[in-house]
Order: sequence, then C-alpha cells, then structure tokens
Amino acid sequence: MKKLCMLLLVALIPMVAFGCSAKPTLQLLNWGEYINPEMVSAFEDEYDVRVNITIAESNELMEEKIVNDTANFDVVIPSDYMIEKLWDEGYLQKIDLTKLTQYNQANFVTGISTILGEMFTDNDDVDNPYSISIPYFWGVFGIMYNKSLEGLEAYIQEEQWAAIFEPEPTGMFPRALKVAMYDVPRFAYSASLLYADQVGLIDDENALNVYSAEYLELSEDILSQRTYDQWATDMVKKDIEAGLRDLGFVYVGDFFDTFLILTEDATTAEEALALTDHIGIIVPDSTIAFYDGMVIPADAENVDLAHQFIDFFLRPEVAYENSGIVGYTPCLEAVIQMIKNGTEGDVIRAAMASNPNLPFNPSDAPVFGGKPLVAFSDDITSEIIAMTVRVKTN
Amino acid sequence: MNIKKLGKLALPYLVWMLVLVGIPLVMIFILSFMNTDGVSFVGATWTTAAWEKMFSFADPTNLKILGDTFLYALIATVICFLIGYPMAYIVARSPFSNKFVILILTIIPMWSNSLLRNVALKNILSETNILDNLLSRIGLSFSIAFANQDQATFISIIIGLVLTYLPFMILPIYTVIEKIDESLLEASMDLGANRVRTFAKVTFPLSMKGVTTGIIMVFLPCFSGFAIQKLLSSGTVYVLGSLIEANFIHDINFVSMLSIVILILIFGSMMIVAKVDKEGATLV
Repeated sequence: MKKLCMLLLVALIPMVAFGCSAKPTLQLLNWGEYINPEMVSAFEDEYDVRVNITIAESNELMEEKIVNDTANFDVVIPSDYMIEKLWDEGYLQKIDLTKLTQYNQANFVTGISTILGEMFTDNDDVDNPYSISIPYFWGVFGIMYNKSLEGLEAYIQEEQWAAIFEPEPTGMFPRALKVAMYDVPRFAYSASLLYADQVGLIDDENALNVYSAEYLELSEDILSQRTYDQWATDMVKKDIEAGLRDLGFVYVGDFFDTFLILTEDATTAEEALALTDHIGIIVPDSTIAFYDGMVIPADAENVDLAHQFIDFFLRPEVAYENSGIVGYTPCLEAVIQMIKNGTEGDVIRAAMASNPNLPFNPSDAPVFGGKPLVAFSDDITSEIIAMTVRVKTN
Repeated sequence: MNIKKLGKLALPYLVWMLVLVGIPLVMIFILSFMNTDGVSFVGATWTTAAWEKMFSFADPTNLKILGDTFLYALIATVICFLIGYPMAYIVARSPFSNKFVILILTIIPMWSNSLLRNVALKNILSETNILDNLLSRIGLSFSIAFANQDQATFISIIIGLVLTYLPFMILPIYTVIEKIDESLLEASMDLGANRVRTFAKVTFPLSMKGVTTGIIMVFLPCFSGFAIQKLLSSGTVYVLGSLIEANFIHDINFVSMLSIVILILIFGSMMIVAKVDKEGATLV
C-alpha cells in the first residue's frame, strides 16, 4: 500500500509542477521542423513566457485541431487556402496591425503582395488580407531536372509545363525521359490546367482554381498523355538528384533543400556550385504559389502575447535565423538581401540565393505569375483523387 | 483463489476492448453506409454511395485495384510457400544439432526496419545502385535489366513482398514439422512407403496446420499493407491500402467501406484458421 501511495505521488509531481508554472504559455500550432527552436527560446527569454508547440502534418489536421477545440491555440501557421477557409467559417480573429511594431507592408517581397492580392477577393469584410494573416514563408512550384541528359535544360526552358505533361518528340533524346509527378492530386490537377492554358487548350488563366466536370476530364486526358515513372512527394527531389529521374514537378523549396544537403561540407561558393552543378530548377511563367501565414484563432487566450510573438518573428534578424532552419523563401525583402549578401558570413546560402540562374526569390523574375490555390470542398477533392487513381491504374 | 475470481480480473480488459475495438468497428461499419462530413454526424444521411463507388462496373478502377491487390498478395504468398516449405522442412529434418541457429539467420533481417530494407532493395533494383557504385571501382558493373517499366514495377513488388514476409511462412511450418513424431515416419517406411510417399501421406498432411497459418500470415499483410507496393513502384501502383491513404482526409465513408472489405477478408481467414487449427497451436 505504501508503495502504491508513493507511486501515485510520483505520478502526480509532474502535473503539480506543470500546474504551478506561473509563466503565461503561448500555444503554437505549427508544421514539423518549421521554426528555429533557438529563436523560440530567445522569445521565451525576452518576454519571460513559455511557448508550447503542437505539430500538425497537414492543413486539414490543423483545421481539425482548431475546430475541435482540443486546446486554445494562440498562434497557428496554416497555408493560404486554409487561412481563407478558417476565416470564412469564423475561427480566426483579425490581427491588430497597430500592435506590430515591425509590420510594414512595403517590407514584404513582391511575390507576397501578388499572392495576398489574390486572397479574400470575394470577401467584403476583409479590406486588408495582412490583417488576417502575417506571411511566414512562401514559395512556388517549379520543374526540377537533372542536367546529365544533353539538351534537356534548353528543352524544359522552352517548353515549360509541356515538358512535364507532353511526351517529348521521338528521337530528341537518346532514351525516353523519366518524369516524376507530385503525388498530391490537387496539385497535379491544377498544374495540368495551367499547362492547358499555356498551350491554348483552354483560355482561362484562373483554371487552376476552377472545378468542373469538363476540366476534370481535360485534366485526366492531360495526365494520361504520358506515363509517369514516379508519383511521389519528398522522394522526387532525391531521385532527380541521384539521376533516377530526368525531371519532375516539385516545390521550388525542394530544390533548395537538396542544394543545402549537397553542400553541407562545402566551405566556399565555388565548391558549393560545383557540388550542385548537375541539378537545375525553373519556374514556369504561370505557376502555383503558396504562403504560410501566422494567424490568431478566435478563441486564443493570450491575444497580446500572440501579437508579440508575430512581431518578434517579423524582426529581420530573427527571420534571418529562422530561415536558416526552414528551407523555404523568406517573406521579408530585408532577409532575402541578408542571405544574398552573406552579411552573416554564410557564403553557401549567399552563393545559392544570389545565383541568377536559381529562383531563390521567384518574384525577382521578369514574369511572375504565381497564384495561390483556393480551398475545394471534400466532395470535389475526392473526385480529383479518384481521377488521379484512374490515371495511375488504367 | 479459484478460477472464477481470476476471471473477474479480465473485466477491465473486456471493457477496454469494447471501447477501443468494438465500438470503433461498429462506427466504421455504420460510417460506410453514410454520407458524413468527416466523423461528425451533423447533417449525415444514409447512402450506399461508398459501396457503389467500389463495386461499380461503369468505372471499374476500384475493382481493378482490388484485383491487383489480390494478385500481388496471391503471387507473393505462393512464392513464399514454394521457398518457405522446403526450407522449413530441410531445417526441421536436418541432423544439424543447432537448428535454432539456422532459424535465427532467417529472423535476423527482421530485426532491421522493413521499410529500410525495402528502400535498400529499391536502390539495388534501380539502374544506378549502390552495388554498381562499389563494383565500378574494380571495373565491374551490376544492374538488373527489365524489359519495361511495368515489368520492373511488378517484379520489384513481388521481390519486396517475398523478402519481407518469407520468415512468417517458414516459422509456423517449421514449428509443426519439428513436432511431428519421428516414429510415425518410421512406421510409414516399415509399411513399405518410400520417402516420397511418406512425405505425401504423412508429413505433408500433418504439417497442414503450419501451412495454413503461414499462408494467412503472409497473405493478410500482403493484402492489407501498401507501403512496400508504394515504395517499390515509386507510387505508380495503387492497392487497397493506398486508396485508404489517399482518401483518408477527404472521404471518411469511402475509407470506412474499404476497411470493412479488408476486415471481412481478415475475419474470413481467421475462421479458416479456427477450423484447421482448433487448438491455435501454430499461431503461438
């Protein structure tokens, strides 16, 4: 009996200790490996608070956690379409921009302005999309390729989306191209419609966000034009790097991720470029863009603290350190400049970001046509999934 | 303490099973006949849409996937049996004093993660592989040439399934053959049967329990799993498990229906085991 009591006591200690903590706790709902823990500690020290991070693996899981009210989160970092959906359903509150000392709309890169310009367009109660979410990281989709096949780079630059979706002319390359498709049905659907618009099969630049039976059939036909050697997500970049595929449809962030892994042991810019000489990436003139933004749920308990947290991560030096962990493109122009100039002594990232052939900041390109995706209903998404299943199976 | 009192100790376990296994199973069954928004029953309606989506002859994609899944599992099971039975037999009947060591050798690969083993296998089966990389240093090369992509995918998946589940075939068969009374075989020989006849009339029938268990223990994971098929086909092949994965977030009713299809199969095989092996001796 005595032992049992002791056991109970021991079991209770952590709970008591947890309950006694007088510090306010900020509840953050984030993606895995999507924040620099050192910066979180710095925030905790500066404001004398605790930050509790919960991880979700998809936007839908984030939604579930917010809707089901399992915990009251103070800051959440979902993607564009989910931000719009959560706002429409009343789960978010407006961010008081006057409380953010670091906030200035002009500080964001032009790509972010383009994407946010497409947000909440049919919503009259939102006059400023930045008051719903503060951009955290962003990126676009592109075509990653291995340069070992002669003439492939020029072919992709010329053909853009057609290089992915159309079979190459026979005899152009010594062997059939091995092409990888991104295994998220929604992305495959939208990209195929961007291709349809590019080659004139349809005349609808917003097709990527339109669902109709006609477009579904068109997308199925387009995806059936060639046989893909691979339908995958994270494996695509690895296989292209290893030379197992020639080209594939990927996040541009996947390319930079690969770049940083390949150059782990490099010490100079020349070395880094030599190590990554065999892979390349292009961003088609019109493409899918995304951003992840910091939002404050309607039932947040520490609203002021949430604002302080967002403000903290808008500081250029904090955002710079944060981007060293997260491979995506930072949203602040100042941070991009810091990386490009290597002001903090990071020559490898400087070599990567300042290389004119690499779209580290895709909105630097003369033509930038990145569009965010809007949320489709579950029924529509199921139809699109069934379509890609048909493409793969038949 | 008598056995009745001890029986009461099982009560918490029964409650546990009911809450965590029984109720969810009933929920899955009900969900497969409904149209719901996620797992919320608000505004839900009764429908057989999910079942029609699966067993539709207008769009036979899902039926084809069911057939493919079955085919992969069947071929892998047959090959596992053809390799596993002789191996179990040879080990069990060998005069080798430490048979355990040989069995350990078949189990050792299982100590590493099966996904990692299949990633390695995928690498070896691809054109630029680690063996080629090593051999090229001494002027040799290694690569498996497949006629086309479809063939490469099919063969890779079968190899992956067989390598992963072969031990599950060997072990139950070995256990049963090992237990066969030597004097029965001697009796058979005394009565004039030759070795082949003894095997066909005595050993094999007596090992059927192990064979059934082995077949089920290989067939079921081959049928319900999807990781190996997905990995080795680079995502180009769909099986039932991958259909569940793909639809999990957006169509819980369809996913529930698929789970029921797999469950029916599992319960069906359990009944076969119960019939063949009444004491459940080979499962442990």
